[in-house]
Amino acid sequence: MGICFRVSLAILVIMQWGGGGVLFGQESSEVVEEGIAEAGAKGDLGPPLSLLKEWNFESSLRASGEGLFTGDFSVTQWRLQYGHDYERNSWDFGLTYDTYDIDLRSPDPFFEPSSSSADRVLTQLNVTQSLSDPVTWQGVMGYYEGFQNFRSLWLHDYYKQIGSLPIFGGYPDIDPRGYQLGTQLRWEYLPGSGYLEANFGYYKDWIAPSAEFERETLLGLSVIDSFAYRLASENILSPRVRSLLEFQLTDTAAREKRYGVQHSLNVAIAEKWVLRTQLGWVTENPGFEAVFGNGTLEYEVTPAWLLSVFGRYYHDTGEIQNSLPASNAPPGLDSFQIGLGVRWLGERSSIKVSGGPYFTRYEDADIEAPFFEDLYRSRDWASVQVAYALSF
Amino acid sequence: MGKSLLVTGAVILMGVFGVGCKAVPVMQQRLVSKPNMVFSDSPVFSYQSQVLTQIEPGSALSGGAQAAGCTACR
Repeated sequence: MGICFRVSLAILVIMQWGGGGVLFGQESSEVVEEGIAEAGAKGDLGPPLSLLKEWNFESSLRASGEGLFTGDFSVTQWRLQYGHDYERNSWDFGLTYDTYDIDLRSPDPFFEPSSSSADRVLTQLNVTQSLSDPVTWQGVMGYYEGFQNFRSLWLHDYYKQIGSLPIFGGYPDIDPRGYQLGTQLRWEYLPGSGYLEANFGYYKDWIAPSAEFERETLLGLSVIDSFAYRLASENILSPRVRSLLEFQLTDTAAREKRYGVQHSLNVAIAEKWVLRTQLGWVTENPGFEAVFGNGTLEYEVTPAWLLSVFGRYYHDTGEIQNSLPASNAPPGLDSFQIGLGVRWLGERSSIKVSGGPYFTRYEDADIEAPFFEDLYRSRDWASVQVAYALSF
Repeated sequence: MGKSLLVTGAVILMGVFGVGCKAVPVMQQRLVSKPNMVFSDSPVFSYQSQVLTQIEPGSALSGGAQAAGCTACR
């Protein structure tokens, strides 16, 4: 709770200072004009204050919530983002809050069924600067505290309970957290039509290590360093087609490099119909491979109201190494999602609501000690998304 | 080997057809400039789910240990 309060207070201070009184309903430009008028009346409109005349920015506020629910797992994510767009630069500050509620069961004879809850807070700051007309630079920094996902919480609680048995060597107290630093260059090589992006990211994560319990507990890695490199090209291929092609390489400690490619295509198939598609492929030795694809068809009922239907498919080969008698890694997975969405577009604000079922189907893991089979059991989920955006 | 060649060929084709070399005039960009035609990180116009990446390790192309599926690595 301590970090939540500190971060919330920081957001309020930034909104009040940076938004020029946005919390009290004043427009950003109105506050600036009032300040200039007051300074002018006092005869204080010197060089620094004269710059205020050139300040003209737009504020934005974005909020969203997303949830995945099934009988024994509930996962939610809430986001709040506030920022300013100036003529040649911008910044935004975001706060993300994740919650996990899980029931734990395992065929491990030493394990007692239990329930667990946890949360994660993530803060992120993005700064964008126009270096020249076609080139833009972006810097990103973020920090989080808490488990990255519900699977980490499940494994942590399992190891904690097993390790606490008198016959085993215990499991350490874990303080999961992490930070990220990133930078991006975007080059508009074809004015208004073609953009190249190059990204670099560094991630450091303190995680719940895997464990083998004997008289002494053998722990896996507890600190992970990762480097991510991305190259992307966004292009307007025709008056009706926009494309985004992305290549990514992720280098994570104690793992082989992960390569990924993803292509997104948005097509205005008619005046009021838009089709958005995406295909992706990821591979990592020794033997992990994933493919996924999704499509969204959206219809503009009126300029303010849009309806959409979407579908998604994902497949991977799993991460279990068959040479091991027991593994906390997931087996191969097939997942499917379908849903409906509605969007309302106002002059300065917009709202989106979408939802639908989500199905996960795991392969049978042929390993000697399936202690984690309940974590990787096939499930039917309900997926819900809501989002709101305001510009002022 | 055959699979690698197939994937490499698909990537090359995607690069050839997915990257433009000629600008589309601005006066012809009315349809591609609509809010639901641009690639936006706004949650109202984002079609990506961040929560699903907790279940599908291959769909999180970036994100450090989470992207690598490294929740409690062995």
